[in-house]
Amino acid sequence: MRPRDDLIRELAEDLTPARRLAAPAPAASAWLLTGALAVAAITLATGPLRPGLARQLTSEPGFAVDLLLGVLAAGAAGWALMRLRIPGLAEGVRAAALPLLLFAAWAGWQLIEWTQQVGPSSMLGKRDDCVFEVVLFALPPLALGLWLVRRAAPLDRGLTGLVAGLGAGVLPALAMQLACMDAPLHSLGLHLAPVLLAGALGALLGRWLLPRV
Amino acid sequence: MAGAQAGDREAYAKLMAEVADTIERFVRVRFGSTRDPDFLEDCVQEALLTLHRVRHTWDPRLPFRPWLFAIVRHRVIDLLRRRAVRRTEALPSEEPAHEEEPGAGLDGARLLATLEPAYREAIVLTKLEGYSLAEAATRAGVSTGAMKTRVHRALRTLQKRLREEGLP
Repeated sequence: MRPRDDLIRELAEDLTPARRLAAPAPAASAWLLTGALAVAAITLATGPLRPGLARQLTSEPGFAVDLLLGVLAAGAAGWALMRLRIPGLAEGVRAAALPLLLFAAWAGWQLIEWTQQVGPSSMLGKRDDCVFEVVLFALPPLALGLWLVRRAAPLDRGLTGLVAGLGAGVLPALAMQLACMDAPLHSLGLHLAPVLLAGALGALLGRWLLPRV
Repeated sequence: MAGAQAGDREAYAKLMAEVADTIERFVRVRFGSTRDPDFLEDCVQEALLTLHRVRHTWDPRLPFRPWLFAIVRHRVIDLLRRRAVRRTEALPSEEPAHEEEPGAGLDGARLLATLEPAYREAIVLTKLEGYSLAEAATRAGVSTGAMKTRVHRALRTLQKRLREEGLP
């Protein structure tokens, strides 16, 4: 009898029913919804929404595009994260391409707004520490994302962490787009740029905390 | 596998036996026939253990083979890396106990294991798994030019090792 036959026998004896993972779409939705609620609660607990936000939402199409790109980037990051946790479903940098592209498009939109003066800029609602708040507020959804992925089998821990950090960072960046002052360069440098820091933090934590498959 | 996930031990043992043979063939084809039977057996057993540990991650709505081979490839490359590290660490104190015949003990897996991880990955992706330079570059997360350089240097290193082994 070969050694592997003994091993197979032992594995079969050890077998217990396995609880399957949730499919990527519902898992991503659950992560993003919980993360968004947490970020919304923290954002509101630390300051009000920007005055005139309701009017801006209904009267400035450019602002709607801004928010839509952020929501799409978060959704794509959630989807990619939950696919990366299943072997054979998503591999390599290509797996993270869509959220990265959408995030780049979101950042690009800020530049377009700045160069084309798509909407009026305003200092109303300015938060002094918004750049730090984006990174800090990203921590709860990042921790939740990594915890959810730990139960699965992400083959590339660094990339998985990066995508988790990106998705987690986009949520408070979106919140700051609603709460902090509205000016394209301010948004780009102090709301969106910290998302990259959250991504880098996610990559580090991913390599450190996610299990080696 | 769906039966195995539900706890059917008989189905699981049968599946694992089939999978073990598949893994052995996969390793032979993808990583070169090896004269080190221990390495081959290590690959099979490590892969079986990993499959057992992560069996809950397979989704019955998805095909089984991509899931299986992603895990097996990951484990085999990890094993090759670990062997390479062990060899590198052992190198300073190792003196040849006797002179070997030219080419003795020569096999693809052992030669690959002597390469730096980035070079080994380049060879595995382009020469063994058959990806184009561009595809391999994407998978490795580097530019096509960098991948081309890695493949070139890896081949030169392998040629050098072969010459050191006494083969032309």
